[in-house]
Formats: sequence, C-alpha cells, structure tokens
Amino acid sequence: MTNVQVDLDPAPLVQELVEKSKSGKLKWEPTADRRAFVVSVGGNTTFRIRLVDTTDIGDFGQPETVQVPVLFMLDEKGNTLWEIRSGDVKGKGPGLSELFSIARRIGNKLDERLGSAISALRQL
Amino acid sequence: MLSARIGPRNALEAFNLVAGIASVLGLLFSFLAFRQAKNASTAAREARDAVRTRTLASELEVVCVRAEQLLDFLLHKRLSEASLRVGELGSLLSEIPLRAQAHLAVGQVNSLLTVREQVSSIGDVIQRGPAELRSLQPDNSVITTSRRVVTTLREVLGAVKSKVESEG
Repeated sequence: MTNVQVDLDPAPLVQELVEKSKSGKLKWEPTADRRAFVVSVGGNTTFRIRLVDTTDIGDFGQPETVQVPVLFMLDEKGNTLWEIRSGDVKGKGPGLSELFSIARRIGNKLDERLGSAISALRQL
Repeated sequence: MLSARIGPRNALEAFNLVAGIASVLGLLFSFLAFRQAKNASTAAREARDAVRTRTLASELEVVCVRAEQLLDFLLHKRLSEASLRVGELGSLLSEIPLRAQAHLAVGQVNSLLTVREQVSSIGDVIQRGPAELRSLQPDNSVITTSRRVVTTLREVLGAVKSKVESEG
C-alpha cells in the first residue's frame, strides 16, 4: 500500500543500479545525446541517466553553470515515473555521479577501447 | 424345468456382463476422446502461437527496414524523412513490446524498450535544429546510435526468426 506520508528514498535504487552495473548485469546503452545513457529492466522499466545543466553559486558568489546527473525512471510507455536529482540521494551509498560514470563507461565500451588502445600503443 | 429356471438368470448375468463391458468400453472411449481433445487443443494453441510468432517476425522485419531507412536518411542528411521514420519507429516500438510480451523473452523486451529510448533521443536531436546536424559525420552520436538501433533490432529479429524456424 502506498504510504504518501513517507518520502520515497531513491538511495536503495541507486545503490542497486550501481551494484548491478558493476557486476555487468546492466548493459547501459548510449543515446544520440552524448550526455544520456539508457538501460531497461524487467521488460517494463527503463532508466535514463543524463547530465543536465544547472545554475549554482560559485566560490566567488557568482552564478555558474554546472552539469549534474539526473536519473529518470520510465514506464513501458515511456512516461517518466520518477525523476531523481543528485540532491535527492542521501546517505553513505553511491550517488548519481558514480552511477553516471559507470553508465558512461559501460555505454561507451571504455574498457574494451582502453584495452585495444593499450595494445595498439604497445605495437608502436 | 431346470433350464427354464436357470434361463432368465443366465440372461440377466449375460446382460450384466455386456453392460459391464459396455461401461468399461464407454470409459475407455471417453478417456480416448478426452486425450484426443486435449491433444487437439494443445495443437491448436501451438499453431496459434506459431502464427503469432510469425506475425511478430514480420512486424519486426518492418521495424528493421524502417530503422535502416532512418540510418540512410541521416547519412544523406534528409532530416524531414528521418524525422518521419523516428515517429513511425516510436509508434511501432511502443506497440510491439506491449502486445507481443508473451512471445518475447524479457531480455528482448528490454532491448526493444531501450531501442525506443535511443530512437526518441535521435528525434530530440533532429528537432533541436539542423545546426547540430550540419556536420553529420559517420562517427556522430546520432549516426552511431542509429547504427546500434539497427543492430539491436536485427538481433531481436534473428532470435524471433530462429524461434519461428524451430516451431517449424
């Protein structure tokens, strides 16, 4: 039963996504937007993590544009069910920045490219 | 006198015997009929599943062709046609996973849902304006994503076609 009096905590979801991504069970895919990666699970849910521009106050009190990851949870129809921002993830667990780094690494096949780059360099 | 007394009893026993055999035969025929009906029902269900899987394969074939056309339009910078294909693919990829869920593995449905998001991201970039697409090189993220979409769709189609072939 939905208990709307308690705020939904995205931390367990983010932690699970990070763990499953690290264990290679989630295959993040790149999109036409270089700053977004997607993965679908369970045949009915899609996660999209994307860097978005946001304005923050810099060290010198000046507004500056920074990029922060936002996680979108979509249903099978593509509707956004939940939009999780970095500030929403509290606790000691991994945050959205770590999840984005892993998603980008998997989506861009960085490990494979790194391996081939190293072997190409060794052949020089 | 004796035969007159025994006669009706023999007739009754014979009748009982015949009735017993008829009951057993009736039971046997009922069982055979039940088995036959069950086999027929299973065969009908399998035939129906085979037809649905074949229909799914031909629908996925259409999706693959549309995705290949999208890639071709993007490579030739024909953005209005590409935009049209994005819309068509979005509709097809929204419909098929929901309708054919029973005939697809969870991994295949996941692939189709992911592809739909990738197609949607291509549409977003196209709509942002031609400035971003003026330099559409083969290594552009729109082109590479479009290639990935085609590959993933062909993989799903291959798995479905293999199922069609195994179902004979």
